[in-house]
Amino acid sequence: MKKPGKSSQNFILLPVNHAKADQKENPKVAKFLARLDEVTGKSAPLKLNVRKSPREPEETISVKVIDSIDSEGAKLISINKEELANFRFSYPGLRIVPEKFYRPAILAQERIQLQIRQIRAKVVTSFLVTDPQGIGIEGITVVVFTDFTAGKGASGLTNSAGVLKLKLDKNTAERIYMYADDTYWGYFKKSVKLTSQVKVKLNPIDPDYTDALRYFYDTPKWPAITEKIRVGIIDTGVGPHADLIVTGGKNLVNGEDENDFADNGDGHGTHVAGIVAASGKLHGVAAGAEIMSYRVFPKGAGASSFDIMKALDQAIADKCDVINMSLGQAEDDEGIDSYIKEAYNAGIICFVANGNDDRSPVSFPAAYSLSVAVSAMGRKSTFPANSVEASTVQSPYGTDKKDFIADFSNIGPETDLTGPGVGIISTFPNDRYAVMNGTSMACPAAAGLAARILSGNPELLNLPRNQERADEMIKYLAIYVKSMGFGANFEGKGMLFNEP
Amino acid sequence: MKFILKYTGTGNPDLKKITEVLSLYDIQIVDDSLLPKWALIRGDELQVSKLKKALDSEWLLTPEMTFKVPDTKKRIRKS
Repeated sequence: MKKPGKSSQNFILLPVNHAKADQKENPKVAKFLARLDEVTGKSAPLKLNVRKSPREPEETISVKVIDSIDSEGAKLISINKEELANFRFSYPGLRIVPEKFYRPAILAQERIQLQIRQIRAKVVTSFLVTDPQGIGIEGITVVVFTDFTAGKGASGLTNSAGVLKLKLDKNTAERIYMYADDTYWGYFKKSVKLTSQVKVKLNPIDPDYTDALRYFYDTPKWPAITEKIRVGIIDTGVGPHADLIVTGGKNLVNGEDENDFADNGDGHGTHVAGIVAASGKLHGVAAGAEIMSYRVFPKGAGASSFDIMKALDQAIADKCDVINMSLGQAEDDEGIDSYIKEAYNAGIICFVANGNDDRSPVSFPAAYSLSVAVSAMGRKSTFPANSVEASTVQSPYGTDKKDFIADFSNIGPETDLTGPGVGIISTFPNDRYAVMNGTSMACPAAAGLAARILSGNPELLNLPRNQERADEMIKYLAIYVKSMGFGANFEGKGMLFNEP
Repeated sequence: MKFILKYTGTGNPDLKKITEVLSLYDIQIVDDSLLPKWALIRGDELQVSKLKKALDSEWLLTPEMTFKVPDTKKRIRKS
């Protein structure tokens, strides 16, 4: 049992809706807060029961209640950060907000953010990118770093012959990255001598390849879900793709046709949906689940926070059970938080991607306490050796040393779960397949698996659509979470599996 | 610039009154689909700052935020 100590942090506990719990609305939360109130200020920590792993008896964690506002109101607690995810899954229905300290608003001095450097061309290199038969591939993004730390180099897209000429300031590239939108794996290499021509062959995607998702989840062998369960995808739109059936949805982008909820061409939403529910050449983790597509990204532009709020509102009206939000940014948005809360109050769980800012703090709205925040992990040998994915391997490694938390994944105490998010093969518009990396991919892996697990408990799904339903869903899912050995800051409680 | 207007009061707001205030400052309602609680509005920055001062305390104004499609591609830093 871990006691609050050096790695402890203060958090404020609040009921979901108001500053004080309502006995009628949620008696369990009101009773729990009253219990904490009784031990406020006591030096001995309170021992609370949690279930850390399936098939094991309940254990206890220590929580110190520092301060309280009213018996059934807000509580200031101290808890070991490693235990926060366990606490969240065992005692859902509470907003858990880190205690903040405010400073006087004194204007900070301006600092120079970036030294401007002129790149003087030393070499001109022609990059030829082909398929295994030697045929040039158009539209491959080539990024060549001569100084990776400084972000210095050149980049561009290959032409119809698969060729891109770049002027560079050194005759050695520290790193070369090549990205294909679809059909091929990307390419990565360090310390490349830049001659007049550099030739690279890209590996085509085989839908039968065992990527990280299928390593952990043997989806081709899993039966399709037969119970009705509905997953809302708030993204760039979904499909068309032969492996995907879209039950319904809406385009929420202001000024666009609300009935056009197919993918806007970017492919992100179709990839996300395929991870959840593809069924054909590829199999998602929740094949058979109903997919609702809520398009919020206009083509080539950012999604408005207002359109995301509308999408959540629509997903609530459409009676989704789980919502996937593979999006985020550094700043909090009160409107989106409010609608995630509305969804929770309607018995719906929102899974949100942690963000891909190279181990930065968890993005919003993933960091909002009623979201289920998902980080990205990967596994060595589940992608080709010279692929972009090889560049994402970084510590910490898991209990199995082949498992790692992706270098790009945001991390922090708000993390609830981790999921496979490195080298994930999924659907791309117009019956193509693509490999993508990101917490955007880990998030639907977790959301989809949650849908599969919840579909096995119709009694739970038939509960009235209110906060208690969401609380019970969270508690039920906790039984299926296993720690991968990365530590709570990286994986929260761990990863979902389809068996307890 | 676009802003999100939020009603924080209890019960339903006086929509006629708020519409009059908005038109007084030449502010357009871009999206009213989440009314009476929320609306997306657009106006000149100076006019919006004037509107902020004129609004009753039960109305809040926050800038609209935009979210990019997430990816993990490495990019050359622009100098």
